[in-house]
Amino acid sequence: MHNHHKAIFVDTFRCVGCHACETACKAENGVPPGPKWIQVMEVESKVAGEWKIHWKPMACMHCGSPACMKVCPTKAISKREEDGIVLVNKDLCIGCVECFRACPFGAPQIGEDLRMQKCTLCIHRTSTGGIPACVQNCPSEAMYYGTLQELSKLIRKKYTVRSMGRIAAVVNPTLRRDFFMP
Amino acid sequence: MIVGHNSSFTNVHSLPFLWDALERGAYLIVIDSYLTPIATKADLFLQPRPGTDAAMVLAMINHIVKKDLHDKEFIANYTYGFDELMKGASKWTLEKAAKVTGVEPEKIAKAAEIYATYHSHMETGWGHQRYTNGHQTQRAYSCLAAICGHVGKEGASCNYFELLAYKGLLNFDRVMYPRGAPHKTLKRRLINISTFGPALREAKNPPLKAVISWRGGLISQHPNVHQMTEVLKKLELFVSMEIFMTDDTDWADLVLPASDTFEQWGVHPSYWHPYLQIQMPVIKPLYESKPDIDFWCELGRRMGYEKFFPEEYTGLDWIREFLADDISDSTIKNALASNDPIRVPEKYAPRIPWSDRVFDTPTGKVELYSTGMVEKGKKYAGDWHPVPHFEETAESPVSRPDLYKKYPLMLISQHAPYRTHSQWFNIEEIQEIEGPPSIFINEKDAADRGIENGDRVKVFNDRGEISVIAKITNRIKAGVCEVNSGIWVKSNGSANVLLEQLIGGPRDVGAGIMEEYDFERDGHTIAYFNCLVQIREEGVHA
Repeated sequence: MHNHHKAIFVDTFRCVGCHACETACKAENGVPPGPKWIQVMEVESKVAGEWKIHWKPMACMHCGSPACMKVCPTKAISKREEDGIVLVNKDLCIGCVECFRACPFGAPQIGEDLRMQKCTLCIHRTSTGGIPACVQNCPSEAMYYGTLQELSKLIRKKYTVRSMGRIAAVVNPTLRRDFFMP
Repeated sequence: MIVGHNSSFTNVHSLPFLWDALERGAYLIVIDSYLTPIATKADLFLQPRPGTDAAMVLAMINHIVKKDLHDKEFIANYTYGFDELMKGASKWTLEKAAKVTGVEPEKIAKAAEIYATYHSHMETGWGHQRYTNGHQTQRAYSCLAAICGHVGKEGASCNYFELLAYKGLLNFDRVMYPRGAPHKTLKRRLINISTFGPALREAKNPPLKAVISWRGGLISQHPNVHQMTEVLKKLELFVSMEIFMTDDTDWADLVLPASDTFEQWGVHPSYWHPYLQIQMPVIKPLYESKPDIDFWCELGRRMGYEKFFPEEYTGLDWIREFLADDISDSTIKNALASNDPIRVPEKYAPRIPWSDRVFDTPTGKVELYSTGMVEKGKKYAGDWHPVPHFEETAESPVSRPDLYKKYPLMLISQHAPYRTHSQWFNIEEIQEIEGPPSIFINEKDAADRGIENGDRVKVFNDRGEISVIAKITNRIKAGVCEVNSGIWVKSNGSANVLLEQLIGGPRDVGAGIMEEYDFERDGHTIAYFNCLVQIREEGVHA
């Protein structure tokens, strides 16, 4: 991946599993019930003796070196140089689901037309300066969109704010908190 | 400290502010019987047995006073009845509260100490109030805030339900009595929303023969569904105005197609925010649907009251009538034109409520001992105990050991995460996220019954039964189970089928036919969470 490639960053500490991203995606891209271009996954686990629930919205990661692209026998999948978006050409897709097997994140979806479909990073919005529908509609402000460079700066800033918060809390040991870093 | 309030489902707009505070090092305490998404982010999570919060809060108050962490100056200047409060609270040790609530005494102590020591805000919701003792629980929490002095300070107040801007900003009288109509002298009869079913049946003088139901789900939203369905069937006329074919429309004599929010005017005052929002129709009403206000005005005109319901009045004109007189035309114009929010005037929605330390009580102080409740108690039956106390709920393992033997699980319902109560239940896109009607059941309870994740189970008690999918979880404690509220009755998954018609509030309204009613002080919600059930895998016979 390159610095100017675009990505979505999810601050999982802020995610509450409301599924607004899924709904926004479906409304924006006209996806019927069935395929999910983004899906909020939920895991329940015990952390330091306490039950916790974790959520993570999963969409296409628009990988630097997409596993799906490599296995596609008809070269229907391509990665754009200008923004790194991975796209599928439905006219070339034969519905062999090789991409579905190769993707470690379960991103490729098969619709009623038996062709692969997936997140386009809202290319129709982002290529004209907009942001993806899921990011815009996240009420918890847990999702961020930008170039890798922008996102790395954002993550650093978040880290700094949180660690300063922790320093403030350490001054008073009763207020010490364990930070959950994305 | 967040209490019985799942802002992750009901107040998502407040979340970014909460995260900002947490990221800067704020400490979050959550008290809830259910591990909500907010609770999962908390530094300290207290999970009491449903309906026992008051015991824990009284122990917290006792602990704070023992540790000398209370705000003596605030108590002396701005509260009334501290000694009476302590008379009851001093009986509640941490150990005693731990035994009742199931929360470890160290956790209760830690929460109390942190809350009292630091500049703390308390946000209380409805979760702990949906019990027959809910009013006392809420009073206990308010008293806790008051003895710590966390009232009316920037960043440290106690919020219950943001009704502030409803009261002054909205001119309810103007809509109930249109201009020129005889005012208030008209004899009227009130029906309590919490006991709508019994009231329909019991009203005698005169009996109720017709109901026009509008923007509500009588069958899906009220407890004791069978009783409600029976009384609705007996009506001479039942009209339902709806955008979907719901539980209500199945029994309606007449279904009128209602306009949805995109087709009509609306006004949204403060709801955990201080902004005035006026909703404009963005499309014309489709097919035969009509905006609600047009229906009522047309009905008024056809009944011969043309002069009160002018034909040329639009939804916006009625909004002007509805808003307080000092909301100027230019404010309304700004609310309509601008993308920026319009602040409700400070006097209706102050930035920091009670910062002037003036309280709307008979003594003008925070009443730890409520003289107002004593007065009310002289007038109406009910639990008007002036000092918060703990009493078991009407249907709990302790109060009803006989029922508990047969039905050993407490059923609670959280707000539907992906719907507005029962609205949108039928939407395929939402059903896709939500899945079929289901019940959360603790790992241990499931194992005891040989239930596996995804099994279809029967949930039942003497009042009814439902058939739902079991979801095994640890977000509720053993002995508790949870079914989302608002599931339609016809899907056979509505928790309300299992519930008794119980009231959470001090005033006993009987069948609910009343002459007067004070929404805030008589305080009513339906006690939705007082329910014992048993679960069995479907097809297995006991």
